[in-house]
Amino acid sequence: MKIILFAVVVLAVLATGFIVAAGPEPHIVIPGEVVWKVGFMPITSTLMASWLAMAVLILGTFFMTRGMKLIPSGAQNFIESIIEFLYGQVEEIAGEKNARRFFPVVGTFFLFILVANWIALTPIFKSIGWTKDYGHEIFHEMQEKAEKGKVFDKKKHFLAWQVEDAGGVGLTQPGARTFKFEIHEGEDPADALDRYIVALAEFYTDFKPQADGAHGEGHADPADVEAAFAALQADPKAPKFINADDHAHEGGAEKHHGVTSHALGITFSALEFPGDKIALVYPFFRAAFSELNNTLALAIFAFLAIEFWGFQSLGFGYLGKFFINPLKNPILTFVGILELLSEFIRIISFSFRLFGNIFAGGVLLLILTFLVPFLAPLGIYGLEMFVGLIQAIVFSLLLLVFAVGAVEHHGGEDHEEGHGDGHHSGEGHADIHHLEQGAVQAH
Amino acid sequence: MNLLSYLPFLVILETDGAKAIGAAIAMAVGGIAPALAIGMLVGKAMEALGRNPEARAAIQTNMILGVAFAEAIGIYALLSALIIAFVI
Repeated sequence: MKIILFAVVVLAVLATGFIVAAGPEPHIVIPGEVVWKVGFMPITSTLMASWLAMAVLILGTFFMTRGMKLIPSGAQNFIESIIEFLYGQVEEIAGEKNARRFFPVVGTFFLFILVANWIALTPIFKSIGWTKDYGHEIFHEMQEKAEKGKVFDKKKHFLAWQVEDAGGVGLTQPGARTFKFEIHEGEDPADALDRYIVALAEFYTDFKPQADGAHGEGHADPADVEAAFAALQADPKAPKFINADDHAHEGGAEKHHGVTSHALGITFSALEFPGDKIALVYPFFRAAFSELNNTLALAIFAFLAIEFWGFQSLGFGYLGKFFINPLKNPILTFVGILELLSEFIRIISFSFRLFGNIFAGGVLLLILTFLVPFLAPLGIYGLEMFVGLIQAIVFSLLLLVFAVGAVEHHGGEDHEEGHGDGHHSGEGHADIHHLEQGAVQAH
Repeated sequence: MNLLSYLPFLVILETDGAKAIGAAIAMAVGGIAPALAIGMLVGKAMEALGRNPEARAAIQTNMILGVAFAEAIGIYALLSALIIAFVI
């Protein structure tokens, strides 16, 4: 009995969510949305998010460690316990000597990825942004083609939401309706405009097309277009097509800059939206690692750090791991080449692992919010927090393990190898060893 | 009945439909192997943990490493699915 009651309550909550707060149809973009352009450099939403993560880390550490005391308390205690815990983990894997060298980089990677992943779950992400106006863009596409007297050479699909606009900035609203429009390949702009008028009338007014097949391939019915146009004119909140002749009387010269409707025979030069727009919200912030550029940057830096440590420890003997004289041992030569390749493949797997996990998590949240607005995304948010932590651990742990592998004096083959390289590497290693012992003693 | 007689079905598929099916197959098939691998890895790690609880740190580190490598294969599948769905 209790179970049935529980099920009824859950279903009721889900149904309410679906009626009250269903999200707009998800729109998935892989590259980061350009928020601003500074000179030739686009500033994307993902870059903004990584700056936000940096700001959180820098300011947080700054304020929490102001007035440091020998016996920590409060916020300082919190930071110290985190750092101590991380250092302990690094030391366990790398040993005391190497841990001192690796920890600053590995710890920074861990904290940065963790913070960037976790702040991406806050509500400012993906919801507020510039509105990208599709209502006008579709019309401009037709205008351009009509001006050149060409047909559309490519199929184009537009998906947009009904967005209330406040000076170019919009908010993703629950319950926003989705507007879809498709320009067919080889379609005349005049025919496309006919279908656009019908689609707009259907979206904004309670107009219903009479003829069949108005949505599919082919043309809209002329009678439908006329009725749709009348419906648009009658509604004060619906978009208005501006007649090119009127426009010319007011403004003057630009009479030709318009597109003529096939069914109506009127040339339109502009489109105005007195009420809600058809637009998408291009967010200011999106999860920092849901774009490949950012994860690639991290991966390249990780790769460089590993190689740097390798050279620092072993000198040019580090290369002896990859280039082995084929006259001595042809199989090891091949293995060495494979090793060299795998160094570079690391960049790919580093970047795609992080990108894939975070991007897939974002898409999952987006689609689930669209399907089941209440309750269900909650569990996924928990999962995403876990995934964010795991990815931060995996990235920094792999970096650490590769780094330990790079600085290690490699196996017995080296001693049988020519003494040129072996000698060098031994020397470099001894130097480092010596220096570090000195440093430890100085402490 | 000849399997080839079904070929017209493939031809009449629209490009978008074919893309969607391709991406779905890439992800679904590409997910099988990493799932099995990760399950096996974690299972064995748990066994090892039960047999030798003191080695927790070493087992955990190596398990996460192994899982990361196995997962990379799933990520490649995701990558090809994304390319099929959005780029091609």
